[in-house]
Amino acid sequence: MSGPVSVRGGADGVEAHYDDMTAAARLFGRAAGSTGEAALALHGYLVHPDVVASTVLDPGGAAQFAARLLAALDGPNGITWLAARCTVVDVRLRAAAAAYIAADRLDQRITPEVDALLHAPAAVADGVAAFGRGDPSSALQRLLTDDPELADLAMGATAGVLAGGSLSNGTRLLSRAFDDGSPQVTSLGDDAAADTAGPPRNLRDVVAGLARRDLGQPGEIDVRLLDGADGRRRVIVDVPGTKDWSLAGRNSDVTSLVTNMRAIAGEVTTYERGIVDALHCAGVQPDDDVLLVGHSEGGMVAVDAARHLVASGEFHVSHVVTAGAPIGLVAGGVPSDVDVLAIENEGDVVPHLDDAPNPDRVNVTTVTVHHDHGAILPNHDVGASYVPGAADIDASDDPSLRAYLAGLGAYLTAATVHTRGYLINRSYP
Amino acid sequence: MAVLPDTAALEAVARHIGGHADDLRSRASRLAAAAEGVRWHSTAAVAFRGDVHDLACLFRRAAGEVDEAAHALRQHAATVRRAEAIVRAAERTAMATLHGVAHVLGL
Repeated sequence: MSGPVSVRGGADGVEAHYDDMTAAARLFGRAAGSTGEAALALHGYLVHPDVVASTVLDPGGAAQFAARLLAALDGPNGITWLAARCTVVDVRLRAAAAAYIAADRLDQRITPEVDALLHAPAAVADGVAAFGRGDPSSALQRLLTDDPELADLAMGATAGVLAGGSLSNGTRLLSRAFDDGSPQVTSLGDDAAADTAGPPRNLRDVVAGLARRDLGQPGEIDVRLLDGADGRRRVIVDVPGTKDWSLAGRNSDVTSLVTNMRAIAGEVTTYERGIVDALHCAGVQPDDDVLLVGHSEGGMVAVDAARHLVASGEFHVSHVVTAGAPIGLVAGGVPSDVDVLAIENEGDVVPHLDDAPNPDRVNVTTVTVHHDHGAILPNHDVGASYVPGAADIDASDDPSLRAYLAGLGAYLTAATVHTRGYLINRSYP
Repeated sequence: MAVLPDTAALEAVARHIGGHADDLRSRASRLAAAAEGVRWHSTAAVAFRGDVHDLACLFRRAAGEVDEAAHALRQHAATVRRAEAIVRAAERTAMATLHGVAHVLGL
């Protein structure tokens, strides 16, 4: 049974490029000036000496010329009026661009606060009830899962204390204390067991593949090579999230916290470089379409990898799917030819750890699914929350989601699939 | 005759007016293309493009009216030229008659 979803951004969302709007406004402003000057010049011809002098010889013709020119100039929708209309369009465009800029800034500043305040009373009541039962851990979990936006508030406050500023500045400063090392990629060979299910046919199958890889060892990813009926090859890369929460200065596990701290700020990580190495090892070509699918930290790494790979041209990333990933600080930088679907479970606190809502863009669709298990870990779990959430999305008729899934179509119609596993470790000289 | 209007000048004015009509048409095309090129998608953006489309149509209609004014001026210039020819012919006839009368009278 599928559940309801709520959607922000995507093909049916709002997209406004302020620089385009102000450039167009300038063009209309110039058009207003030129049209006004033309109106003045044309008025001048009505009293041109040769025109006036000729009136004696053909008063009727002169009157007809004057009447036609005056109608073109000062009649309804005449040139004088058109000049004024251009000025109105100029002003309206500038005002709209200014309003979008202001709304974006306001959105970035207050969305977490407003959402948290909307849900806070119920969350606090549930938390107090659990605390009253003598279970503080459960109370905290209940508080956060009822109101995940509280995590945004907490992270914002923490960043303010730690770095005197934004979360990305704070994590960037913290990550300096941890060496990210270099990637060491080991092939785990073909995963025939993964291939028995066949190629993915819907988003649920795609996310189920990620859930399967998430059960593997730390640093394990896979590359699913899809042979299309059109003779083209497409590639899905599954990127699981954090498996190691230690703050050791040196750690061979690329999913450890240092990757989180760098990826949340959009930096290239050893995890990301390992994925690129794995794509080369798998024989992926620069013109093969690539879909990056990531959970939690893996979602951040996937978004960062998409940005960096499009910039370098090394591989052609066409789509990204993230599940429970805090990508609010980095998704806005994804090029417009990469379509991102960010799936967030309503009771999952992890997408809120970046203290920033996902941007509302045509190529960034954020969908909230509703699979509350009343505890932090299952609410964040790929298998428990995001696989059924993906099935909800498959069943949704939301225009942005339908547009995204239509774009994903070529990945969902492959004739065959061959999955190869890779292990990425962090090494130090 | 200096007092008669310069029809060549009238035709030059008509050409200038026609040039303004061409400018209005190209302005209409530029504005419509600019509106389509703005990366802005929303209900307000749809309304904006509709407004600009209408505005471009009005620019083209105004250009047509300016062309009609230029055409009217060319017709006026042609009428003036014909009137001038009649005036010049009448002037020549009058002068010839004057000279004939003066000759008969031995003046």
